[in-house]
Formats: sequence, structure tokens, C-alpha cells
Amino acid sequence: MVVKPPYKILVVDDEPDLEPLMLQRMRRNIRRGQYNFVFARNGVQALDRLHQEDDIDMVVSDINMPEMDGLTLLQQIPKVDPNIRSIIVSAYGDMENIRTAMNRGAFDFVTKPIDFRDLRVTIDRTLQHLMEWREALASRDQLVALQNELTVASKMQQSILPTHFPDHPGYQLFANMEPARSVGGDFFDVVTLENERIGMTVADVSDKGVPAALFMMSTRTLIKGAAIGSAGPGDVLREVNNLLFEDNETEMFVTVLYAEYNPANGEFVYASGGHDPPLLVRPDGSSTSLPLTGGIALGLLPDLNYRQNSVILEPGETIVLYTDGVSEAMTSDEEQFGLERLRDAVAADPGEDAAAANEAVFEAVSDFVGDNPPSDDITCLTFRRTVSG
Amino acid sequence: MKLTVVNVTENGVMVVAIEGRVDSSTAPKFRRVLGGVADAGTRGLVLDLENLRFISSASLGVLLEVTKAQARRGGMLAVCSVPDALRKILEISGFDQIIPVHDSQAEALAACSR
Repeated sequence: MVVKPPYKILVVDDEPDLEPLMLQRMRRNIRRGQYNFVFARNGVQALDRLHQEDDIDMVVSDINMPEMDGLTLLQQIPKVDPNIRSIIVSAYGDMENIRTAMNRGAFDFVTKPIDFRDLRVTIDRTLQHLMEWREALASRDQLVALQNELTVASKMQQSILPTHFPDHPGYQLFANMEPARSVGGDFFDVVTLENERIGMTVADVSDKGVPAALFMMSTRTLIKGAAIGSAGPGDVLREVNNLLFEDNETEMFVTVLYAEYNPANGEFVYASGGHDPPLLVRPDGSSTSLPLTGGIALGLLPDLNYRQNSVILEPGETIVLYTDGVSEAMTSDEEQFGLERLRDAVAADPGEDAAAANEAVFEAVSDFVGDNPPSDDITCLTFRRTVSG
Repeated sequence: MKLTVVNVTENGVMVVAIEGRVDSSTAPKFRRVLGGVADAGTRGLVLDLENLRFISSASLGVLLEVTKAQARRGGMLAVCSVPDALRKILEISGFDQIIPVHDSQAEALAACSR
């Protein structure tokens, strides 16, 4: 059963002011018939509501509350209905609780003070995932062809990708992912950090299908969680690797390039977990692959350390993060796209913005491979320090 | 994809040549055969990749699985004669830090026999 909107969202918080604030800030979505909010003041009240009303789609819950806290509530929700998705609201940088919440099945989290735009994006993404999930459940009851499972997985993959990029005078960022017909495992993400810093991820999960899509989703959420309040990209990968390893019973793995940029001083810090290094493209069209940091793909071995490396970006310089779907895109004669063509596509028109440069990469790949269908997902993220930045 | 046992040494090291493509259609067979060889208690397993034209990342996961299974049993897995493109993939993914990579069969055999 795939339920159509409005989606019923249970908001759990002991702060009485949140109810009118939420209704006020989300009024457009309510008026448009997208969301329908109900409220509870603690975990016990929330469970009562969940028992009484069987049409609640998702829960947005605070952590610290009287009678029953949000982390305990998270454990109880699947017993009422395993298909309800939860978002947790936590104090900024409270990794311990965020991690516990994720381990207990929270789908995502937002930090306090609540940024309602961010909450809206997170709610939409969770609902999108919920729809795919329900579709997956519905089709599982029929005899599921592999292709069908892949369609569901690819929808799940699409649902976690950001569609909005930060608007900052100091830099431009744009990314896109074009899924291959059958193989898939790429994703990218962008996370806003303290002091106007920004974190960015490009990653490639080794397998395909629904298990890989779920692995992809936990990777994305764990990176987002670890990035906030971390000591840097190396630290983030070390933490995410350990968390992925704990729950990884298969030999699935993910290669990740995670980087952070500080617009205050132009510093770009990155760490690789088995992923291709960033490509630096200068305004004059020359380019260089930044040094590999030597980390192993994530999810395979515990307690690994990940080195990070940093460069100062000059105004106008561009960083390209990509997956092997770009560099190894192939013609029917098995010739590969390679890094020089990637550089040329990005540098072709220095007057263009990052979005256009990123788009140019996809066009160049498409022109290059001709009618040879892509065998892998193609992901490219273009980050540029603006000339005035 | 074709798997051929090309040599079994006196001290129980098996050399398997992998040819062709290991992609999603051949991966289950790849997993079954390699897993079977390792489960049989082979002390050392050398994979000669000279004629391997393509391996998907999921199948690289199988290689790691077998490498770890071998290590648990006190055995070993090594690869040799790795084509340049694949060698680069092993390097970037960091897998060359988990799977021993040797230039030749002889070198790999020596390492597994130690």
C-alpha cells in the first residue's frame, strides 16, 4: 500500500512552544496538504498515540524528555509498526546520542536550534524513502523480478541525494549522479558545518540492489553524523568505518572521498577511503590529481586510521570529486574517458559557474561513450572557490 | 569467466588462473568456487590474474572475504601478475594493503610457502 499525502507526522517534544512554532513554520506544507502534524509531550504519550492511530507515517522526536526519552521511544516504535520512520532532534555535536539513535533505527537527525528549512528537507527525504520502502514491500509480495528490485533500489538511491546546494559568496558547489541501468551504488552528499564550513561526500558502494541501497543510506547518515563536531575528514572516515564494520555481515564496502572546506582561509581538507583522489583544476586549464591519502575502503576492517591532506585553494580554482563511472566511462572500443577529458570538460569555459562546469562533464561523458550504454553510475561534484571568495 | 587450477605444489599451495570477466553474472560462481577452494583447507591460494579482463567491485569484496577466511585458518591468499589497470584499482581502494600483490607466480608461491 503506497499512501498518498498528507503524511501524518507525530512530533514529540516536552517543550510546549514547539507545537505553535512547528504549525506556523510548516503552514505552507500543511496548507498544500503535504503534512499533517500531531503532537505528544513525551515517549509515553507518543506510544499511546501510535497505538491509537494506525495512520502515522513518521515520528520527529526530541531526545531528552520526562517519563520516556526519545532513545527509548525509538526502541519501542518498531514494536508498534516497523514501517514508521523516525527523525531525531539532538543537541548540536551530540555524537553519542546521534550514534545511539542511528543504531536504534532512526532514519536521520536534525540538530538544535531547529533550522526549519533543513527539517523540511529531512522530512521530505524521509517520506520519499518511506514511499520507496512501501513500494518495495508491496512488490515483494508479488514475485519480484531482479529488475524490479533494482528499480526500487535505484529510487532509494535517488531519494537520498541533495537537490539544493548552499548559496555562499565564497564558493560554488554543484553535484549530480546519473544512474546506470543495472549497476548502482554511487551517492553524494553535502553537509553544513559550524563557522560556515562545508562538508562534501562522493561515494561508491560495491554492490547493487536493496541491501546495497540500505548500506548506502547508513553510510550517508553516519558521515553526516560524524562530520558534525569532528576533528576533520580523517577522523570522520575512521569513525564511519568502525560503525559500518560493526553491522556489516557481508563483504560489502564503500569507497568514500570526504572533504571539508573553510571559506575563511580557503583550506580544503580531504581524506579518502579507497576512493579516487580529488582533481584540482586551475583557471588556466591545467590540472593535478591531489595526493592519495592511502585509506582503505570503508566497512571491511576495524580500527583503521585514515590520513587526511589539505591544500589552500586559490580564488577561481576548482576541485572535482568523481566516481570511477566518470574516469572509466568507456566507448564500445573500451577506450576510457580518463582524467584529461574530465579536466578539459571542467576547464572549457572558466567564465561559467560550477553548475555549468559540472553539467559539461556529463555532456562530455555522454558524447564520448556515444551509444555504448554506461556500465556504472556516473557521479561528479564540482566545487569552486569563487574569484571574489 | 574461467577458473583453472594450474598448479598444486607439494606443500599444498594452489595456483588458480582467473580469465575473462568477473561481473554480476559470473560473481556467484566466482564466490562459490573460490570459497570452496578456501574451505577445502588449502594452505595457500595464489590467484594469477594475468588474463583477467574485468572484475566488478562486488567481486573484489569476494576476494577480500576469502583473504580474511584464509587468514582465520592460518592460510594465505595472494594475487600475482595483476594487469596495470587492476593494480591501480587495488592501490586506490587500499586493497593492496589487505591482499598481498606479487609480480610473478614464483614470487607469490614463495610468499605463500613461507
